[in-house]
Amino acid sequence: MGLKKLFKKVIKTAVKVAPLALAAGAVVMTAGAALGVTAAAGGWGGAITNLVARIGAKGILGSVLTGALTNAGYGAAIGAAGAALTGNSVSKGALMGAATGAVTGGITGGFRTPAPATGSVGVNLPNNAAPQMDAPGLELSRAGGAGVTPVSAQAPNGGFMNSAGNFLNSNSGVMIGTAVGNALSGIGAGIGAKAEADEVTKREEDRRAAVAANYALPAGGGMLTPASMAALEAARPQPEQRFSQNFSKPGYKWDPASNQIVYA
Amino acid sequence: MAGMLSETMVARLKSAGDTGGVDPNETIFAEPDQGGEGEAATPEEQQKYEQFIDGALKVIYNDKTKKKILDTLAGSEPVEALGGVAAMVASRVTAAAVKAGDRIDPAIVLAALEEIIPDLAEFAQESGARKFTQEEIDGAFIRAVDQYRETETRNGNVDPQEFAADFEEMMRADQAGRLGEVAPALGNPANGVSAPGFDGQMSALAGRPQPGAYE
Repeated sequence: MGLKKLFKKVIKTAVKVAPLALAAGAVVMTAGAALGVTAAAGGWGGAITNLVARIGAKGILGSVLTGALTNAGYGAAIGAAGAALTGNSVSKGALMGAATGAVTGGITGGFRTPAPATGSVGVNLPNNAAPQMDAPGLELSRAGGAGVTPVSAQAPNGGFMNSAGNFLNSNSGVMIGTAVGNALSGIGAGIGAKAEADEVTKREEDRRAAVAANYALPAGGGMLTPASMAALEAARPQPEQRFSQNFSKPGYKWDPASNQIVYA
Repeated sequence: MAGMLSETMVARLKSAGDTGGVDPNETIFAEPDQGGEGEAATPEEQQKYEQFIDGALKVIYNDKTKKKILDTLAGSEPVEALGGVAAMVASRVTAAAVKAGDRIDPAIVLAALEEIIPDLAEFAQESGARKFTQEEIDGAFIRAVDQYRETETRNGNVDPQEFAADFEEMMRADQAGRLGEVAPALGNPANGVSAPGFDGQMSALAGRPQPGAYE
């Protein structure tokens, strides 16, 4: 089946998806579907490893997929397979950041966050938020306001879709409260750490003051000044005072006359 | 068909308080796809495509949902947020269509995501929620495609068997060093994709200092 069909554009936007990303998206769709990649089965990492093993060293498909998926924030999910491939400078432009993503683990992705067994998908839209289409064959009617069935609400593993749904569910206030609570406790920890650091600084300053006092000159300056330096120079023994000038002191010597060592 | 979108789009532009110099009653529709590879959509496919986009816009700009969508776009990691919201919107429209007895061609979804994601990004920016970079928009597209594929495979709306033959052909072409023939954008050096191995290594070495550079 061909994924690329030419449609007349409908929405006018200033920004666009880069052509390379469009092509990469089609490859990801095709490969993902054909390989049956799922989060539960180890995700893309294993799939790419197997793919490279099948294609061999000449192929670039694995590199393209690795670059695309890393750009999509799946760096961690690709794992070692991606790390091996991104060394080949897969791409530029739209797929930039592939190597960085692989090294750093990329952006937190749905594949890295096991989803709960049940949950809603994406934004928890109210029933009447479903699109209403009036064209034949695509009419989106709801009987008795039952609403459109939430997509994959019973999905066994939903990756981001479920986690986003949880975030956006009615308990988002709790999430926000938790976030704020964490922020506050973080600030509290910061304050405590600063107080401890101040105490350490004070102890260090006291210790330095005590040492300075111990080694201070009688004048009490504590620091070496020109005057105190001159005083030290004047008091210091000179070489002639420190070393004897008498070099004929008795001792064991070699006596050439007797060819013996003698004490003289 | 273009006219069926005007109400939603105009509402969006007005609610954003900035039409960006565009007359919302005239020029925002039916921009033709400029070239590219692939076969032209039939009138029926084009109609379904526009219905899909219309449904997506109604999900996004519904008074009861757009704030949650904006909160998500602003509050989460950018690629995950933008890609996740776009995939959710596409899945929601797909579910509605399936419930109405229709089937959505994945090619329609890919083309629709190509439009929905930039629109979501601009909506977020106009609303002051977040400004997405080009790289984030590109990453979000790939992510949305993958998430949609996985979700809708589970829901039975994407048939893996339909992709198997294409993928086998893709692999054969890649093994033969002619991936560009089946996916021209990926085989075009101008797009920054080149074969690894010796050529790639030599490219990587291109920036090294040449003999005499330090003399």
